[in-house]
Amino acid sequence: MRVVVLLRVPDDLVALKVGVSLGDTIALTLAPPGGEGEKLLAEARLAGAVRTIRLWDEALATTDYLGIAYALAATVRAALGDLSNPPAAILCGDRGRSAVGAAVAERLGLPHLASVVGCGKMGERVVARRRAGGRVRLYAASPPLVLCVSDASVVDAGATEAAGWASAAADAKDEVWSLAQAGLQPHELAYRKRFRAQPLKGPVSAPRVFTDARKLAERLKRDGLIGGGS
Amino acid sequence: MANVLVVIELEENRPLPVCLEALGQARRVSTHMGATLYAVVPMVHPPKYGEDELIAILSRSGADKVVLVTDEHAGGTPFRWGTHGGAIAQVSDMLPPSLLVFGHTPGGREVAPRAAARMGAAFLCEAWLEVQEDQLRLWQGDGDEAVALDGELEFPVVATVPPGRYKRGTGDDEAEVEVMPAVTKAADFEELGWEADVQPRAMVLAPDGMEPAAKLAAALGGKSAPSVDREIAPRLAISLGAPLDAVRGEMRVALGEAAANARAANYALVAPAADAAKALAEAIEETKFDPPTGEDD
Repeated sequence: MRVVVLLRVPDDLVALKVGVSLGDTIALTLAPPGGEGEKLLAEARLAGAVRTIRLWDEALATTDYLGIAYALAATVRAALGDLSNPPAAILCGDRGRSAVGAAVAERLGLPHLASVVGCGKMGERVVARRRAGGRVRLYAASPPLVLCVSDASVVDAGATEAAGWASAAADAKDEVWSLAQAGLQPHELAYRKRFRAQPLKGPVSAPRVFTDARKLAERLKRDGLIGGGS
Repeated sequence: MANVLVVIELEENRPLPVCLEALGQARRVSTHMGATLYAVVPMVHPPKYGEDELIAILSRSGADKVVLVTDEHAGGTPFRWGTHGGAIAQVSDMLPPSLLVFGHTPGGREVAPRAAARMGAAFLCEAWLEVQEDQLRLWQGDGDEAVALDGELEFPVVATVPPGRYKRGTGDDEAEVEVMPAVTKAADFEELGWEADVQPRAMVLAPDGMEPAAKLAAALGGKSAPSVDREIAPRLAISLGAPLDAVRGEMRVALGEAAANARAANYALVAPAADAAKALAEAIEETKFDPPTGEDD
């Protein structure tokens, strides 16, 4: 099985841990030269990535989540070709407010699952563990698919080591890609600039205040967080 | 006329409170926009005659129209795209929304960005949807760190709204109801079963040896600790004074005399921390086996 892990921030390395337990893993990031992206890919090599790709274009600096997803999806297609043969799993981080994993899945027309905390293989299928409603539920599907990994607490480190996949040499270099290599033109991302929220001072959060403990308990119950099936 | 759609998640056939709060704020925004407000409910079967409490709740919360999208896959919780996405996509194709709103729940987090990508919409997570000075304003983030969209809605926007941010709306109890069978397709993932979660379901953050905290943790079936590691993401985190900013998890609650100032919390119980923990533990024990009741906080 081929695996591509989409890296944007250090937290996304949890997805790499899951990826290398499934198969030969390519790490992909969108970042300018000389910045955090290169460090992220160096960490990915140390963690077992066999190939690292850094793509950059100035249009990426101003586009929105969907423009980023267009670029990632196009790069995955250009790097892997047919995602079904051999089958490919695409993994990304799922912490914070990122919408990119779901958007990549939509762009590639693949099923996706979020809140994934671990993966394994069962024959030709991937079994994903997803945290949901106080339990870890198990889902199986044949790749290609997209998994958004929030946490790798269920990954068996021993299994990852025993998998024995090849890993990149410590002194390996990143492949540096342009948008054109991914089959895109800057204007295909630039039009999304108007969809991207811009810095502007906003309201300040405050919690909903309760003065009665019973009312708070009832609210938590209606939220599904205590009692019942939680 | 513009359409505003709010997706309603059900827990034991009742709307989640955060979805009713999203509906309430969408009511205020829709009134400003002159838009029609739809409550969209993916479900397996529509309510039978005499089982229309769901419709009444959504009407009282401000919906102009209620769309019940029936789909044999839509029974599982929480939402995921493979089971609920088709129903939401079908409604958003038939009633193209200027604004599509979800509660910021685990399901909403999973489904909302894919719905946004499918529509080519802008996306705001844990959004503010405000009408200020007769202008619609949409933010993501907080205070000086916030980012905003132009509120004229020249393009569709998909947003999630966190629990506790907004009050429920009011309506005239006469929402029109439409039942729409979803075009069912095969599920994408096969659900094989479940296993126990290694993560604690609840964490109470309090100094070691604080007895009310330990009792509260026991009532919640969770653990008590002075702080929580970044790798731990309890569904419910309750703090008796410790900062909640870095705590991952579904819901954050602050207890204490200054709890109302805990910006990272969804809910606050204002009372001396030990008293609040003791009272909440007792309330949880008393209500543990009751069915969920009431609509208002």
